[in-house]
Amino acid sequence: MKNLIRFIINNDFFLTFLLIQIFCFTLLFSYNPYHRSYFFNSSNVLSGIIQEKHSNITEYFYLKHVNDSLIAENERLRNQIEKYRREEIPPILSSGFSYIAAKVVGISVNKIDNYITINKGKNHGVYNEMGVISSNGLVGIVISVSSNYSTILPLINPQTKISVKIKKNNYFGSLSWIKGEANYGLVTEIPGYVQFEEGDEIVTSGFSAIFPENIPVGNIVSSEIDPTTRFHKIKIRFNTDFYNLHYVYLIKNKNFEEHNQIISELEKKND
Amino acid sequence: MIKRRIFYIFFLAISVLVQVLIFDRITLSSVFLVQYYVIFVLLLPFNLNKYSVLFLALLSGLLVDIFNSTPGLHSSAIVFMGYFRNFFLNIYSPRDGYDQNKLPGIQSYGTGWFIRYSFFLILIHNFVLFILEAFSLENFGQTLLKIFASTIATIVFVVLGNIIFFKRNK
Repeated sequence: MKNLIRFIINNDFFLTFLLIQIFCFTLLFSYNPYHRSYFFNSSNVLSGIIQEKHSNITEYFYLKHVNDSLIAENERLRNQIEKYRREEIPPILSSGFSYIAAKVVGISVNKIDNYITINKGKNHGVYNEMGVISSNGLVGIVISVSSNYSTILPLINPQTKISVKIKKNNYFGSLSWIKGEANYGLVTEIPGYVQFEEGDEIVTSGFSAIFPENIPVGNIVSSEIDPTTRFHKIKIRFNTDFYNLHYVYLIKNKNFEEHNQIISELEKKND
Repeated sequence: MIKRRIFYIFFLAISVLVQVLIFDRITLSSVFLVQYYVIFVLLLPFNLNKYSVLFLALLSGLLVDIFNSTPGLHSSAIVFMGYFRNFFLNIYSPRDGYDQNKLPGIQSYGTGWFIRYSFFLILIHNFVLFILEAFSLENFGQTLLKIFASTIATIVFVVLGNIIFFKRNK
């Protein structure tokens, strides 16, 4: 005991260092973006306000690009309206989804755990697990909300798993990110006998309450068959360019509660 | 004394802001990741006691972590660096010791001394940071490349920052 006390007195600097490291490691390994750990998150007030101020200044540099993408989107929407007009489809069957536009105030691309911060929060009707898309395609899922800011778990984070399908033949699989390669993802769980070609479109499957069906995700770049499982490993390129993302849309599902209720009831029955 | 404290509070704020608003958003390459905020711990005064160095390092790391949603990651790395700071200061100390009134920067002991002193510290920081971030031996070569490339990039910008920030003290 005496020796122990002497050791502690003689090595108090090392022990202080050790205690701080234990503190850091506890933070690091107990952190889970799905827990609403409010403080250590880019949606907290301090970093939210600073990042928004910064983005207010820098957004002028991107105006031209943003304009271009808005024009392209306008054109696409106009075409869609024309199509509906011509085909005289009765007032669109209420799909149950509506959209909230938001500005990206913080984004990381080169890290391993990447996140996006946006300038809309609880006060604007944002809630956890909302789907997020850009004008080009899928972006991610909301994981943490404060009153005026939210953090998004984007496609380019190893924790993201999203159910997708090949648009052409409706075979569905699971999408994850290829670590370190921004803008590329990996689709697995598609059986080896399924036929497709390079450039085929990958879209959301619509099995969850988060995303509607048929939101574009990316295009097939290459594929190989895993020799052990005989399943395809398909490399895709995301439609959303995360290096150049300034505005996003949050998807609000009016039937979110109902959908979740059914699923939780099912899970209860199975237990 | 109070004046110096206020100066260091500003210095901390600016170092962290430059890190999170500029260098964390530059996407030139995925291996040259500048960790500019280490300049704060590198340039703390000689006579500051070593416990304060540790806690100030922790503070700067936590601030960077909050902006990146990576609690504990940068903190752990920079506290490692703070722990070894005295060791490397002693190794490269001049024969008659440091002048306690000066800062451990280029303006006091020259660029060569500063690069020698900061190289291993930044290397330790980047080593802990990128190993913890990857947390696997998968793509270990890529991680090593990242560590060395980022160390060199960081030194370049820290030296520039030092020259710009402390011009007056010359």
